[in-house]
Amino acid sequence: MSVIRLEAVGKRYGRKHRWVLKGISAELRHGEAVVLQGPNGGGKSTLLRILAGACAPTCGRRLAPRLGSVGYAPDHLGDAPLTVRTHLHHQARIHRANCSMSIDLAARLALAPLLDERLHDLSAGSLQKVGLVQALHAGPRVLILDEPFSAIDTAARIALCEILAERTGDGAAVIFSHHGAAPAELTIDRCWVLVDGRLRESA
Amino acid sequence: MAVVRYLITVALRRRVVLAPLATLLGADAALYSAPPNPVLATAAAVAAYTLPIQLWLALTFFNSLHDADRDVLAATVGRRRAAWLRLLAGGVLTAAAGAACVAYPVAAGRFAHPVSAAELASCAALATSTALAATALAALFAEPTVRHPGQAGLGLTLCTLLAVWLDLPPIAVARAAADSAGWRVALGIGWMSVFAAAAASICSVLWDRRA
Repeated sequence: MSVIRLEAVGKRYGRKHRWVLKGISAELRHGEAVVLQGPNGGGKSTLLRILAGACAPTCGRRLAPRLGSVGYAPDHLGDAPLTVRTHLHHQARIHRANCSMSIDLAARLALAPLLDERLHDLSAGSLQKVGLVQALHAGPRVLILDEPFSAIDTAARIALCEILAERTGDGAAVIFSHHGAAPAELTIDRCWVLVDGRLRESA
Repeated sequence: MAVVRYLITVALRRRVVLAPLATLLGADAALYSAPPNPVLATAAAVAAYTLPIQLWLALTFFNSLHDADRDVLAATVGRRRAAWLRLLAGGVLTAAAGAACVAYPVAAGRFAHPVSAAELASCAALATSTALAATALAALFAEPTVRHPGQAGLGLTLCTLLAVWLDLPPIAVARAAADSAGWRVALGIGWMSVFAAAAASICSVLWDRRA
């Protein structure tokens, strides 16, 4: 059963700009892990933003679940001048999630020692972990992660794969963009490849 | 309210809104420093003179949220709702600043005579409607609709000059209050409230489409 469906979705940022995405029809199903691949500037982030509902398609439509059931982690988080703990506390309240879940996830991703550091003092990898925690902490039915493994260390990558495997096991759908081979620790059900704004499914 | 609290906290912690806030309160104190200060006339004049600062405050507030954080918010609560919550947060911040501009002369005894409850209510309505109109106007020139700060500043300056040239509220309200034309003051407050609602509605659509 699909959790998000795209029907003939196209996207361009202004009338004079090129089409980033062209006629994309796809669906994300319960309990599957999908990896999205493609060249730099190929529209991966745009497609993930549309799937997350953060961005409106120029044409076509997105059929999505109820609000609050999507967890979205952008490729880089804004460096708000808050401590990690305060930021996660605010995000938990917005997501109506339990703060203790954030702390547990932070511990699993080795972020616990940095909870009282300010976001703009964090390294790119640590900031990415914060983005992942805020996407995961409400237990969403759909997880949309933009290059989640690009900056984190090996231990965090293994922990994240374990968490994602648990979530897909619970029926959540996971899609993430990634360059190169997908992490061996995670079972991937499908691979989407964006080429010239069009989506192809590969083995 | 969690979203409104988060947005205001981030803006205050970034300190980008502190300069317009301090300028607003400083201008308020300076404008009330010359007696005799009849209650409604002075409050209306202060609202008119501080309009550009209110616009600056609102624009700075709206642009203080990082693109990625805006995306996360939209994905969490929905794009249209996220737009309305940003507008609400901006309105809360500027209305609070407007309320402080009214509270200062009352607390410091700057008005010509003790302020009655009716006068205080009129001043509060005037300050709030001006703040909300300024917020909605600034929102039309905020990210993601207008991404260049220079263009936004130019657009808002032109709008302010247009308000002076066409004698629109709050300029018209200041003139009416000085002439003791109470009904025109009420009309101006109503006009600004309607403008704020209309501009906010247009803005929520623009933000949704430009996301």
